[in-house]
Amino acid sequence: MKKGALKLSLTIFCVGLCLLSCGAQKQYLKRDVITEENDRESIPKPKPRRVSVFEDGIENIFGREIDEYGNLSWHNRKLINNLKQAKNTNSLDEVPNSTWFTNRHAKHPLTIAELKRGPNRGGGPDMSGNITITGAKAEGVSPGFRMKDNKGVDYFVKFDIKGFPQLNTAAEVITTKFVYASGYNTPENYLSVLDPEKMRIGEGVTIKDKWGKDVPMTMDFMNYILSRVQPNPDGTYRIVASKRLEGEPLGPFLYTGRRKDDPNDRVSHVHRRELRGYKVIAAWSNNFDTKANNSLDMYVTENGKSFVKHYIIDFATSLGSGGYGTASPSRGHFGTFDLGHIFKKLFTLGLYVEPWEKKPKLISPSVGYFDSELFNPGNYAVIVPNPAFQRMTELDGFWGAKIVMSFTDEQIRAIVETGEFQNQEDVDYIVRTLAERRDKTGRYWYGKVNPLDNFRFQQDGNAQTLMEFDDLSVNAGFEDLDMTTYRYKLQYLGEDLTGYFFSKSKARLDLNDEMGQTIENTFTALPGLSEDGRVLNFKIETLRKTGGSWGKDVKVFFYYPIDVSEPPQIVAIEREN
Amino acid sequence: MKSLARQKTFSLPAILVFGLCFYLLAGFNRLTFAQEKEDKEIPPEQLPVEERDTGDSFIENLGELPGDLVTFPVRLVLKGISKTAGWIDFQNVYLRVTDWLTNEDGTRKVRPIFMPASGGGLIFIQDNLFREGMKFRASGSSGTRTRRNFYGGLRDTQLFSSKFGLELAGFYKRLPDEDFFGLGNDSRKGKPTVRKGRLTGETNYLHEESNFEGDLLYVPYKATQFAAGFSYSNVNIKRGRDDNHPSTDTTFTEDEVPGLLGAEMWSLVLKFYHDSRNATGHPTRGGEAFFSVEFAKEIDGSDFGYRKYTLDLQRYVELFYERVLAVRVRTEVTDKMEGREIPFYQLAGLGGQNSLRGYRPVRFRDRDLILAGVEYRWHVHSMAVAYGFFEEGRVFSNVFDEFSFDEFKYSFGGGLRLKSTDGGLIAIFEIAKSREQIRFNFGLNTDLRKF
Repeated sequence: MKKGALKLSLTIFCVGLCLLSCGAQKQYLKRDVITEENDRESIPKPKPRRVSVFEDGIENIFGREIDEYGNLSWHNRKLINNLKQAKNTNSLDEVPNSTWFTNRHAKHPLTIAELKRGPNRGGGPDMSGNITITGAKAEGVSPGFRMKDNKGVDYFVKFDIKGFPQLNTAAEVITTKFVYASGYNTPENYLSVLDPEKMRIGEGVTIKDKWGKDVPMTMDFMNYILSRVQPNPDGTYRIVASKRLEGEPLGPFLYTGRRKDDPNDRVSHVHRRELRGYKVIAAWSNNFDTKANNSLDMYVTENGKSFVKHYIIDFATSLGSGGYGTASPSRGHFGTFDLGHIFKKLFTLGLYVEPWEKKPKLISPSVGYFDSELFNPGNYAVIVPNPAFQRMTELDGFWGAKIVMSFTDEQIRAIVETGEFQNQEDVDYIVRTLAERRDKTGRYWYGKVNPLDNFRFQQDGNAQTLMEFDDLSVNAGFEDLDMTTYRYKLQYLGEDLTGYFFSKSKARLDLNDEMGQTIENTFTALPGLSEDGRVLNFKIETLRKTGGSWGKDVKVFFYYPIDVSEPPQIVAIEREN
Repeated sequence: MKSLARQKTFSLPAILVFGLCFYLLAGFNRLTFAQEKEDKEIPPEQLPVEERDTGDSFIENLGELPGDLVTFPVRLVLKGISKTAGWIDFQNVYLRVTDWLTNEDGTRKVRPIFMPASGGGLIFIQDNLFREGMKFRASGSSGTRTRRNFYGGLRDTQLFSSKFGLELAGFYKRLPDEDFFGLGNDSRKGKPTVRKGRLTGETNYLHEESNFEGDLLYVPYKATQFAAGFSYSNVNIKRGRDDNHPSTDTTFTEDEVPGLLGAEMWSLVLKFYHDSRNATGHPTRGGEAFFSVEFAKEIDGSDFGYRKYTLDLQRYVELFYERVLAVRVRTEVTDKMEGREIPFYQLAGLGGQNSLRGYRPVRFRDRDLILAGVEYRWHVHSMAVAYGFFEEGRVFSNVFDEFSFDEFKYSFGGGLRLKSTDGGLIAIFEIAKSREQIRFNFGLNTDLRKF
């Protein structure tokens, strides 16, 4: 009987799984796609906060791991491949503009000039006259200080570490521009030159010593900072000057939970698409340090409303830069306390050799260890686990990959050149590596879903309605359109209205008269159906080569107007993952 | 009756498994889906974000409850640790302590130390004391049963020129429960009994020693050093403080074990040391060679006098990608002067963290010793090196007459050597197995006393 009980249980379990995998279809309505998140309402100023690197690190490395292990709900969702999707996306599975994110290059391609300018809105610090030091930071990963330029504008200044010219400063400037073009809020970071002769210490400026006591800042202290950084041959210093952000700083945002004193902050950060999908962008640019302290909330006032704006800051740990000299070749391959990795090495007695151990190659002191060969976009690891990254699904990855893939070789070169490397070989290498990493990113994430996008209805010369789309894998050159076949059928609330139609080597579907008639018949049979309920969908699958299997589907929901002279309107997209 | 019994057998697992299945499937998914689909007419993706229900459903939260309850105690502890870490961070405690322990240029440091033999304490290190090349070390540690260990050392490698130097060191140690099992390679644990005409068994004694030594150094090359030195030591042996075993001085006689009362001795030592390692923490190439000759005599007496020759060779071979094989050979030969004896505590000793790690410290004692070992080391993390080792050794009353490959004692095991990012802490966790026991060893900054 025990066997019988087990069999019965397994049967119930399997049937349950089957039932779950075929849930009812959502009923989309004719609605405008949400393109803006209304999170700019005036709120009282939230309380500034500090986040301890150690506390945050311990929580993310160990605490959340334990939470996950004990979370039956999460295990169950993982088992049936039904992970929680992001909760702030619109019906086209895109991210509405918000205080976190603005759709930029991937949606509306920026010009070369705009890409090169990035977030910068001025010409950088005025270093022509005296500059006034207003504070300093000697501890931490990289040395730096705060200053007022000749015009009295506040900047935070960072340097290259001795022996590594351009490494840190170029990484900071380049990655800032990629992240900004991707859609995130970043500071204005300018490359400039500091003449130590023009440095003056502001009146009454103090620094905190290691005992937390305020002590007057001296030139000796400034000289101590300068002794650790890379000088130019003429005695000046190449710097990256980060302009003070508008508004009042509130401290970092966390990649989990919500800011309780910000009523505009409605979606748990782990469920924000732009924070989950940032992993793809961070992986591409090897921005391996995405801890909370590399973010900043600012209380800003725009158009008469005061609210919190969320910034990602500090990109000195990106490309081949480790913030303090080069990044280790292991960066991106495993986190600081990746127990799986540690146990793998421990229990294989070191016989397992990591690929990055075999070929560590210092490209140059200005580039560091930065490669595309060993880059694995699906397995990229930041040094401290990021809760939002851990929740990333294939749909989040696909969203991030679309952003990464939106940068052409020419655009990448334009941005990399703003890093002002001394050697052209360094520029060429970074451009080539970023392009290769981009393609790897695209291949990986486009392979996880059906990468059809930008659906739009058109009419051909015979007034026949067509639905055209971009096959992103074909557009990127990963797949051959001639070898690609699409099959599609019409559905209403999950019920098939037609059999399959086929479109070979053409990224478009016909909405022919026969289909039109079928649709009309369907809606006629539903007399109580409101007009905005006239939404049905194409289910499209893709075959990449003859003899292969059909891949995952994408469902395109569209409103079919009563007046057939009007074109149908796309209202939603659902991708199988 | 039989059918009832069968029904019983069926019901328990069935209820459990059905319950789990229902809980997992119906509880988390169907009900969640139902709530998501039936409660709202418009899919959330079509609603403005501010109008959406972005929280988890009640059922989903309920699903997390069992796991939360199970992991609650661990989470609570972890929360405490992370909050404490946060407080330490905000209060600059780490920086303050580091600042207190280390000066700006890193030449002055204070570090914790721990060794099972000497207990826990602190070591003070001052490099470039009065001038470059002059180093000073002082340490103090204590442990159970009034275990004490104090040390001070000064090394100046710029005495007359960069090739000559001076090293002075002194220590006082009080070790209240040192083990002694009798002489010879076949000494036994357990209650002292006579075996093969020799008394053997587990005893303990208190070892109190004051020592001062001075070496003149000649450093022809950076990696090579010759030294000629003088040493004075005063050892008192007293009743052991471990009451679980008899005291050595009441179990053995002076005839059986010379030196039971201790002795005041001086010695002359000639040393050669060559270090060709490519790094000190985790060397992958090179090696260390040490050779010394010591002539020791009792002061104000003619009972004790001996010559001791020591050779210790270590070689590091990189097998592949920083996986290193460390090979070590050590031999000691002690030869008594005519008409004199060798104090038992100056005999060659085998066992403990520096030799056969699966045995207790100085488990075997005799005049001569041979030890050979291999250690395989590999990085498991940037701050952790794992290692596995196998070592064999034996003591002899006269290695030239008695040598054979029989009766070598072996020990094997593995461990982790952890190093903090700033190199301030080096901890060793080790497990070692021998025919007698499994030992767990722990050490903290054990090498810091070395110049």
